[in-house]
Amino acid sequence: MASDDVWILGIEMTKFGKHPDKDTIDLASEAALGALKDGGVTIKDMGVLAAGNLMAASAGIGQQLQKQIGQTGIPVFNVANACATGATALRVAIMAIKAGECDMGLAVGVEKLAGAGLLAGGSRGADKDEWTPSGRYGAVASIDGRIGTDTMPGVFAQVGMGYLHRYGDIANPFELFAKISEKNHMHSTLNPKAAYTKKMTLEEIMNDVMIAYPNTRPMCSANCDGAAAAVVVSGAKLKTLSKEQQRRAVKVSASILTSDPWQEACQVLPDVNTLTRAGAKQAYEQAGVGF
Amino acid sequence: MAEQIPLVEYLVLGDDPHLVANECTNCGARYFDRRNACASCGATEFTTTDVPTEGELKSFTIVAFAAPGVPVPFVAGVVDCGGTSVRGNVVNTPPDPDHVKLGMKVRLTTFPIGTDTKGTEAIGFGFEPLEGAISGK
Repeated sequence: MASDDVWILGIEMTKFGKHPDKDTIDLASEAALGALKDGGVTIKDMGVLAAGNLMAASAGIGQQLQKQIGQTGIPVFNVANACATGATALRVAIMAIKAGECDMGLAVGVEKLAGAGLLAGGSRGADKDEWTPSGRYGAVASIDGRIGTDTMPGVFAQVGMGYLHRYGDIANPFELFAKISEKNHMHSTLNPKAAYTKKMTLEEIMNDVMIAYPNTRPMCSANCDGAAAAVVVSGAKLKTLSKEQQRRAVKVSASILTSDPWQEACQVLPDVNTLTRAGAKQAYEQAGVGF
Repeated sequence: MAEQIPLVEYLVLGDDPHLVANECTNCGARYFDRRNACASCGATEFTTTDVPTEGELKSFTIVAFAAPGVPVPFVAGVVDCGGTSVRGNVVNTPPDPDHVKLGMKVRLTTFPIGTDTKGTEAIGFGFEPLEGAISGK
């Protein structure tokens, strides 16, 4: 192993699901303590903490976690990056090691989303007494529902339908997208920690409640509570640890972060395809596997 | 006639309602919001340009579940108006997959949103099918 590699030494995730009796820090602690134990190390061995959380992004989740599992004075990065929050927290810990600031770090991602509904759009408040333009569009009233939709199922339904229109309209887009969901629900039966571990047939999926055509309820993300954590270590430090720790460690071949480059239409409907493709390409290149 | 105000500033009312965009004078990129700079080329000069009122529906969804206060179902979509993509609802046609199709030709239409306490009527816009729209305008 090269000394400048970064490795995952220990890892843990909680069961994803509804955890009304556990707060955000309960979940983060469970994952963090589990990852430390899995790696055979303690919080005192950590040189950096990256704590990913979106819903309580301004609440200092990293420091709150330290107060429960160990206040050691290390640098704490509270990380918020939409759906890439957890992966970005991991990337922050990796970058700290690559920068030579420490040789071991802890990355945690945690969220409580059970009951969070559609995630975007908010509720439409009452219109004001007098129409007054405000905001960058000079809108006199709420736009959500009047000009397109801000709901996540609606936005991603349009992304999928736009993709179909561009690459080949088919007679039954609903069935095509439902088959992806059928495959995903089948995979969930292999992971006891997944929020739902139930096989669903194509008919069950297509006959379930429609949220935003063609997305029915089982085709949408299951909002739930959960946390995961990983201990990362430099290759040089790993060589000094036990044979068992070295044997179990998993090398990080690539950690990539992208954002969406400008395309026509991208500010009307997010282009989630280009940045994903770019991320994959850069990851393959960094890992030396190319395609 | 009561005074009218557009739902958004990029909707121009009058005899010939249409949308306008801020077009970057350097690269031609178009935007519907107030700009600080061009997100494509970085230039900072824009000109107001008319967007064609007819286009092709290049994506849509039929929203059945929305935030409290938002009436459903409605069709949210993206219309390609002569090369400029526009976000809008598809209106004046039943909101179901039998009546809304990818590639459908549509045109801009306007309608009242509501009246405020001063009697000013807010006007919104949507896109209706070029053929077989339910209510003429």
